[in-house]
Amino acid sequence: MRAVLRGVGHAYPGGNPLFTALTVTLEPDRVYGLVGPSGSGKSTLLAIVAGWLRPTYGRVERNGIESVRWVLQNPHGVARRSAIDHVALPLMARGLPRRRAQAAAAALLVDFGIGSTADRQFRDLSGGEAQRLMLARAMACEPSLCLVDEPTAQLDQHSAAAVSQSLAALASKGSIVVVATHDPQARAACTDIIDLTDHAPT
Amino acid sequence: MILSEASRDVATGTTRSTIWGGLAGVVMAACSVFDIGAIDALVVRAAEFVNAGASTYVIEAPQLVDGKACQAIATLAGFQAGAMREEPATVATLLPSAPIPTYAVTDGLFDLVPAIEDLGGTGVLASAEVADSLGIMPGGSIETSSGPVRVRGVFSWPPDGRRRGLAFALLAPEVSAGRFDECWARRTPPQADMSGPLLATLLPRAVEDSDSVSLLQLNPSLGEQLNGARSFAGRPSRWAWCISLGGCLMVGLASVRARRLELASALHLGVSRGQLIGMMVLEWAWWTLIALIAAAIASAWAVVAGSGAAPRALADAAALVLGQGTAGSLIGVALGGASIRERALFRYSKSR
Ligand SMILES: Nc1ncnc2c1ncn2[C@@H]1O[C@H](COP(=O)(O)OP(=O)(O)OP(=O)(O)O)[C@@H](O)[C@H]1O
Ligand SMILES: [Mg+2]
Repeated sequence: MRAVLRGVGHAYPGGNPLFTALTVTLEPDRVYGLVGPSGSGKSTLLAIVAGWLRPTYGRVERNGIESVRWVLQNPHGVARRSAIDHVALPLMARGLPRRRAQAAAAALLVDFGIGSTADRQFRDLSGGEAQRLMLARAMACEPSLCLVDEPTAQLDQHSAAAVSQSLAALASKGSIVVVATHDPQARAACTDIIDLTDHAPT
Repeated sequence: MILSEASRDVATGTTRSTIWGGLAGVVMAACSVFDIGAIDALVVRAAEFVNAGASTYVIEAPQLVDGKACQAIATLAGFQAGAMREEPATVATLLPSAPIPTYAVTDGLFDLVPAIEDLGGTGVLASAEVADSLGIMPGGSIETSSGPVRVRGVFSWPPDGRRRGLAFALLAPEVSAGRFDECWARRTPPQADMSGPLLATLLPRAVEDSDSVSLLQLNPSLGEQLNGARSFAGRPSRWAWCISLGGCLMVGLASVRARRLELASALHLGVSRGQLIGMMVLEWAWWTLIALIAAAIASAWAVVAGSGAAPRALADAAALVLGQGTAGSLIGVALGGASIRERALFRYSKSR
């Protein structure tokens, strides 16, 4: 299972190329840190890796990638449902009965440092807790490809560290993880770095 | 899993049952009450038409109507009929200057000239005007030179365009079937051409002497026909069920579209579309139940507050409106469920 980008570049219609000539192989059990200044095209590249956007140049080969899960910049959930219900949903969708899904979800919440929020409604979570909940929920899916956009932007130092560790843990479960980030701590938790400034058009 | 998730959505208020149930309930109740009101008005108008004598037809042929044949019309399904013959006027001792026109009638005629009050037994029915001028009540009697005449009841004969003549009169029931001057008949539902059955009551001699025979509508002032079926089909509220269907469809659609992000994210997390629609439909069932209860209460109130003339027709109309509303909201929910796109999530994120 892997995704290979060959000479990928992208320009939105009527715009200048954001990046060009990007060649990289993405493999499981690694965490790729996608870095670059704001507006350099990190979110755009994530969409290209996911196959949701066709690159203007080059091509993307995807082998054995069955499922893609996103963790987006803005955490979004169901206001009145409990934190643990959010994580249990994908587990139940995969056929687990509620009790086992609930137990596995509780363990994931603990992994992300939000075990104590299990029974709290989503609308009562802080922004940081909500973002960690989104990561826990994506992990519950055990996807082939996990794309994470600015996961630590809203987190304090302590949570960011916990999240970064958990990202590595997700990688060790066999997913390809790509994290777009500004945060040096998250960047440090990545095993590989793709710096879009190196691919900016001259 | 579907049931468990749906019940948690309902219990936590995620479904927002009150809003969607309330909206659908208001749409269904408004359509239903509107249609009930319109139909009830038609029913009242039809009853007025009949009560005013507009559906009653009279054949006049002095001394040439067979009373027995006339009464026989009343045995046909939907028909009421009775015969009438002028008698010498009654002279009340209290009112010698105004002899009271008096008619011998067969029993069936009382179906066509409804009494305000009738104690039954022997005696005559007096028109309200006669009762007033003599100051008598049912059960009392009129003194005449030939002795007292018992008044068993009183009937009204308002000046609403019906044939004059009975406003100041007495009706004396007569059992014996003999020759009469007139036969009255009406059908329910109203039928304008009553000539068939009425002509059949004429004695053979009258057929030759056709100049003395005439056929007329007892009260022509409301028109010849009450086209009940046509005015029902053309009532302004005839599209109430469509509005209920369309309105509830919008409510159902809105109930799902309002949650499109969380539903898109459920799809993204591996919930299948079937599971998603299953949950939506279960939640729909809950809030639609609330809507149905509310609309049924409103409709029941409208039926009870109405004329009470045809509660069955009103209930049928309400059932149609509520049924279509239920179907509409379900279609809306299904369309909404089918319209959720996983990609909406990404677009939403980009638009931030
Ligand atoms: N659908 C679009 N059509 C046209 N231009 C777009 C579209 N989406 C993004 N852009 C532009 O492309 C550039 C790169 O956007 P992108 O969101 O990929 O950057 P980013 O590196 O993720 O930035 P940030 O760090 O702020 O999230 C921006 O200038 C943005 O305005
Ligand atoms: Mg971005």
